[in-house]
Amino acid sequence: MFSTRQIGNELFGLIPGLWSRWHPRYDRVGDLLWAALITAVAIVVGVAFAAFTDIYLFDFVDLDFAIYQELIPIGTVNLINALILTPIILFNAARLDYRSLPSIRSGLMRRLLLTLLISAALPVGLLGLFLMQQTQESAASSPAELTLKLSVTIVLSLLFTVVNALLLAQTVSNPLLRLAQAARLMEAGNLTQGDIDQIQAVRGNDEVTQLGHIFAGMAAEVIARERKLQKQVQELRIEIDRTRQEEAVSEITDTEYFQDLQQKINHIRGRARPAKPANPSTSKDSDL
Amino acid sequence: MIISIHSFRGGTGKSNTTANVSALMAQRGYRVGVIDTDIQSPGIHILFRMSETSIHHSLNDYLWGKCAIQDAAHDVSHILENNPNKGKLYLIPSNIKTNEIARILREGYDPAALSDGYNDLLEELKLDYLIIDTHPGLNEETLLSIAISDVLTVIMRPDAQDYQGTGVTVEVARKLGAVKLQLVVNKVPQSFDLADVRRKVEQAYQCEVAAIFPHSDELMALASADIFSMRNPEHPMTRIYESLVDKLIG
Repeated sequence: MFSTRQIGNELFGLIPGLWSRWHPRYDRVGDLLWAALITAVAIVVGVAFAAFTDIYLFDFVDLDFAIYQELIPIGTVNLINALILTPIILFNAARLDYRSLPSIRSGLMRRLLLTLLISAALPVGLLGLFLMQQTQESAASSPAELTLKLSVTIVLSLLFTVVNALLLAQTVSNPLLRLAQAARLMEAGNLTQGDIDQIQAVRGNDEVTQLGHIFAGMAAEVIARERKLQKQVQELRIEIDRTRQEEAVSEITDTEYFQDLQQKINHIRGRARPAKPANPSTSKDSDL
Repeated sequence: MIISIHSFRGGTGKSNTTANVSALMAQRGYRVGVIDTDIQSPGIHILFRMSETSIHHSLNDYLWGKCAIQDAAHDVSHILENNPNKGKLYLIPSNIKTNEIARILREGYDPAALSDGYNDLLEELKLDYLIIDTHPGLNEETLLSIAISDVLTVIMRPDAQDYQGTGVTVEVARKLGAVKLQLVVNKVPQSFDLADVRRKVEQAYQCEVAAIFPHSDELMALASADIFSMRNPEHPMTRIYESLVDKLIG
């Protein structure tokens, strides 16, 4: 039978619900007090609506009954519950950060979770299906046949689980092995920009990929810093043994050929030739 | 104008520097000749993409009196990637055949013929610049080349043996009265501060440093196969070669 009590109950939720559309935050004590007050108002309105409409719906309900047997006792219990529970629940809900839940945020965690669920669900499903089939036709199967079917199902399920686990393990371990190798190269000072680019080129939303990217960035930074440091440390030192140089020079200049050349030099140079060529063309400026 | 590019020891990147500088000069519209006097171990023709078979006459032939020096000049202007100013680039290669090299070593030649050859080249080919890729060390033809040059560029690497040898070369060149002396520091490891290297080298030799080249893996990969500045016109290394050209013609 239709009852306005249901409408009253729904008002309990509707009024605070509408209010919360405009006040979605509950960080401060004031917010919690407001929420409690609105909830209290909703309870009073809801219970009053149910109680007073009862007067018109039921013969045995009159105004006195509606106030003293319905509004006050039902309203009081609900008010006490609401005034205690509403601030507590809202206080905790406001401090619950869904984004920091690792199981939701972590790509690696998601992948593990999904694979484990599939690994677990498939064997359970297969076994369940098998058992259901057996109960339906239990009369037809001999115990030996039953054992065989059961064994095959178990073996196939295990096989699937093992393969799945191996695939999962290598998607995690391979990038880690590559990263470990890169770290070893870096330790030895042999990591090249090519290696770094390779790590950076790996795409993915899991933590191992992120770790790789962070490592690549760090390695590039370290290599650049090291190079800069080397530049500062290495300074050119030119050391010339002047005595040995003098000896080497006189070895050449003391020869007859050299002295002959020295004497003829002006004669050789004296032959007519332009000392400095003129500019080759007018468009030279644009070419320089 | 004659420019000698020299280094006391081999392996300093002398031929590479000569090839890059001469090509960039020609690209600016100058008429440039490059002469490989490294008769004992010639190699610059490879950078100009010349094969042995395309060499009809060489410096050796001129020194034996078999041809005029300009007959040994090969027009290699085609290696210029971009030549809007119609520059010209000639190479006078040395003969790379081992018996020819052995003959030069055995019989020697008149170094004076070399200096006549330089002047003939300048006149006959109407060259603006003749760049001499010298033989390492300080033998007679190298001393002659240094003596006859208007600019002597000595290439060195930052290592102990080059410091000593470059010191000797610089002193000898001063005694010959070389007109203009410049140093180029090549293959400087990345860990050095280039400005510091320049200051220390200039201080040690009392001589201008025309260019400093950091060690480049890219250049190493292309070494002896190509002219780096032609293939990589926008590369920072090419800009250093350009600045060296500015210093040489300045």
